[in-house]
Amino acid sequence: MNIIVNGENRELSERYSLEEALEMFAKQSPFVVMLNQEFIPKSQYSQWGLNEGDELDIIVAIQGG
Amino acid sequence: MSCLDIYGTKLDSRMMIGSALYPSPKVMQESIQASGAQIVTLSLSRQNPQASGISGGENFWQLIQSLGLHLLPNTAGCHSVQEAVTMAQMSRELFQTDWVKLELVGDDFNLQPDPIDLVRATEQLLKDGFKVLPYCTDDLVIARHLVELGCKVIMPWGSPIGTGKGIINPYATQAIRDRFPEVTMIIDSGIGTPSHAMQAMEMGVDGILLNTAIAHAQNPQLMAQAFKGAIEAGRLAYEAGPMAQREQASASTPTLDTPFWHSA
Repeated sequence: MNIIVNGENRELSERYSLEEALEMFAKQSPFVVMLNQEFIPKSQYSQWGLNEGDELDIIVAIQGG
Repeated sequence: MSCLDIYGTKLDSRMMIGSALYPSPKVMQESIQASGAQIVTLSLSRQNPQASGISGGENFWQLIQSLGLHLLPNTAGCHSVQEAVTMAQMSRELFQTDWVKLELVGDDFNLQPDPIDLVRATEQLLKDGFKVLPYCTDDLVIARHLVELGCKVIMPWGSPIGTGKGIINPYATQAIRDRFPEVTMIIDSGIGTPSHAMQAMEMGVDGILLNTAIAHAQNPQLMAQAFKGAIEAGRLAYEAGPMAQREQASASTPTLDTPFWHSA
């Protein structure tokens, strides 16, 4: 299964839940999540699985003015 | 000196400071500390794909946390109501604050806020429980819409972001101050030098948000101190009430009974 993580194509050997994908791809903490351009609150992670072509964005704190 | 009021949170410092553009994390940390600011702005971005481990990109976050300041996340780079609302919601979860510095770009040429969508996004966010600090132009009517929606803080520009031109329309800035004396008014962008900041503070503005002017100074730590002094001096001068200007000279030393009074 192919998904897009932070703009990069990733091939997964099987269908992942959102929580499994985050365990694999989230490298910084704290983070929040967008799935297909929609914000997914942490309280809802367990309700989501990933599908072919999904866009997963892991969002972190950066400098800002 | 009176306190700065951000939605009921009282702060001694009247400066907000940005965390971007510094030559190094160490300079950022030292400059923020030197400024005396109690609020620091920050933002959100996609995780760096090069991050190699759980600690790989956390230095910034750890530095910010070590400062122990109030966090003010922005919605920089958003071009629509939906983008800004979504970014605010993500910021609330990540930073655990309902404060949001609402930025909604209307034109990339000068990064001027979109006044119409800014009002729309402010309305949605206030209904969703956010404490909105909207970055707006110096248009009095837009400011009025924001205040009427319930904003306790408004943040008009002095001039466009990063220009350092200071208060380009003092009449408009003063008009907003005079029209809404009960609202906390922060000059959010365009301040380039401590004298600009002092000018704004003497006009009765409640505070200044600074980033480029400090981060791009030759010595950011020293410039942060300079702005701290200027903002405090400007506020004190406003509270003290300056003398009235007059056209004619008026001697300050009494002339009566001076040794040469009869030759005057």
